Amino acid sequence: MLKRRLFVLAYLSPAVLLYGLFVGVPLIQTFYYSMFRWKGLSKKMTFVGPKNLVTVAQDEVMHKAAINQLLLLVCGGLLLIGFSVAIAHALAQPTKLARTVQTVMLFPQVVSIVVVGIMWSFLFNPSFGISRTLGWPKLDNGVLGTAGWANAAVLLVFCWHAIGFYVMLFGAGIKNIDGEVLEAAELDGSGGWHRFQKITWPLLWSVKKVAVVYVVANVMGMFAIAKLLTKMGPDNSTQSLLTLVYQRGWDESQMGQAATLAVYGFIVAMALGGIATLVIGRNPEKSR
Amino acid sequence: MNRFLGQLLLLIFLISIVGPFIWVLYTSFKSGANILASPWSLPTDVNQGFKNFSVAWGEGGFAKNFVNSLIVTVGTLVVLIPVGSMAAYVLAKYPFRGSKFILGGFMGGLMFPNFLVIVPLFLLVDKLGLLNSKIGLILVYVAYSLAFTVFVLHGFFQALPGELMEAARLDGCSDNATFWKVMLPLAKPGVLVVAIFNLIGLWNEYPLALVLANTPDFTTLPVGVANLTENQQYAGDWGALFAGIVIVMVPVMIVYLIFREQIQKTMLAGALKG
Repeated sequence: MLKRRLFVLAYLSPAVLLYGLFVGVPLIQTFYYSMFRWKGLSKKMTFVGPKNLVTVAQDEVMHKAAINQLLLLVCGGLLLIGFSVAIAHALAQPTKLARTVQTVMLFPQVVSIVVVGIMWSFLFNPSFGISRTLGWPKLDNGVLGTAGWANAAVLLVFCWHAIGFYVMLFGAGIKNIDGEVLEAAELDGSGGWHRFQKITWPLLWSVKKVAVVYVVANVMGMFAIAKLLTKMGPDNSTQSLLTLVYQRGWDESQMGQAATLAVYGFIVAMALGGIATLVIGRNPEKSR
Repeated sequence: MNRFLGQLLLLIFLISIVGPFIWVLYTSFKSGANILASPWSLPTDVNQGFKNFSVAWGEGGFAKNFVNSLIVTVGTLVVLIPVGSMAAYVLAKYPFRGSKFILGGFMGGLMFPNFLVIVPLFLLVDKLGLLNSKIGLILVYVAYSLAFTVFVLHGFFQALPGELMEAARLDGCSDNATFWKVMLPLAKPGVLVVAIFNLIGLWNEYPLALVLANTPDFTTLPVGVANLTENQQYAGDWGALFAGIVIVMVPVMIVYLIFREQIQKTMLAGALKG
């Protein structure tokens, strides 16, 4: 028995120690460090208590970041789910085109997001990108240098990067729907949009829930696109939470504020997780 | 949905996904001046391509970055796979008081973007003297890949029948030998998939490497190519920059195409289970 205990301990401890040291401890320390004011690697840390929480809450750049993330969550979520449901439906027809799409649709997701950001910064480049060829839109600073347009570009690239996964997800959901249910609906005269609305969409309950959780995770994890596509600009108009953490901590050496932003990040991540579960509600199949 | 409209939608989708990649691929064979003059035209001079790639590989620092990425990725996998599968195995097959709690702790790591802990993590790695080192990045990568690795492999080990362990034990195998000789070989498909997933993720990782290993000697490919673009050092040499991007993306695309089915299956299974 002792031998078995030693075996379990020996197998478990490397993973637990590494995970505890590099993930668990910093997770707790984030809250601790958020209560200090200090610059970069200097030893001098001044305890300021919850003052950082107030400073950050009143920070206008943080407000911009929060609004951007929220808009991205709503617009990105709707676009991603809408388009991927439509594409997943089209993919249900086993054509050659459908097979090709299934092969390549995850490309944007498997290449580094750094590649995605840079690639699209080239496509939006005012001196040789799409807008130069089209002659539209006519903007002095280019698409990426104009507030509003830059946000739209971030939204587009965000969706382009992530959509393959959602198509796959809804494809699996549609496949799982009992064919007989759909046939029965067809026989009852429910087809096309009506059938989708009344039968397919409600039955996609479980994948919809997964999709919402992933959209939240994708939006919260936004970093490389904002940093490399628009450099969070112009004038912070495409700022996001994680890029702001980086900017405060490493460009401006405000480590305490960076940690405080992260604290807000944890709170928001948990709150959004909770809201997502509530919005999706209960399984309509189980409630019957 | 109307069949024709559906196919049209797929065609538009296909072009919008592959278009940018194809453009980057062939543009990497063009000179900077040519890119600015006619951005969409096909390359005419193959030698220009060789020139772009050799500039990126040499002066651009991609050779060094490539080696760094390779060492860090492989080094992480070499530590991660045994450590992760041992932990997942014990949690799945030797339940004890608190084992659910430990599993929950690992799963918790999947719930938030790991960059949120960057401030203390940076200070910790610095205190250990591992800032700007391959070892430091490898240890951090192992730790941050454990959540997903343990989560997926736990599922695989749980699905293996316990009778196999009993049989091995009756044949005189120790717990340790049972794992290495019987259970781990049986979980090989799962281990392979987890390894490929991590391989892609690690090769592409950007934010942690940006903060923890950002001196010229230690930059990985994503950090290297990002720095190059951001510093505008090569602003004139667009061709070399396009070539650099191709160097970063092509290896993962090849790995993905080889293992596509397993990758898609695991992504779905992971998403639908969680």
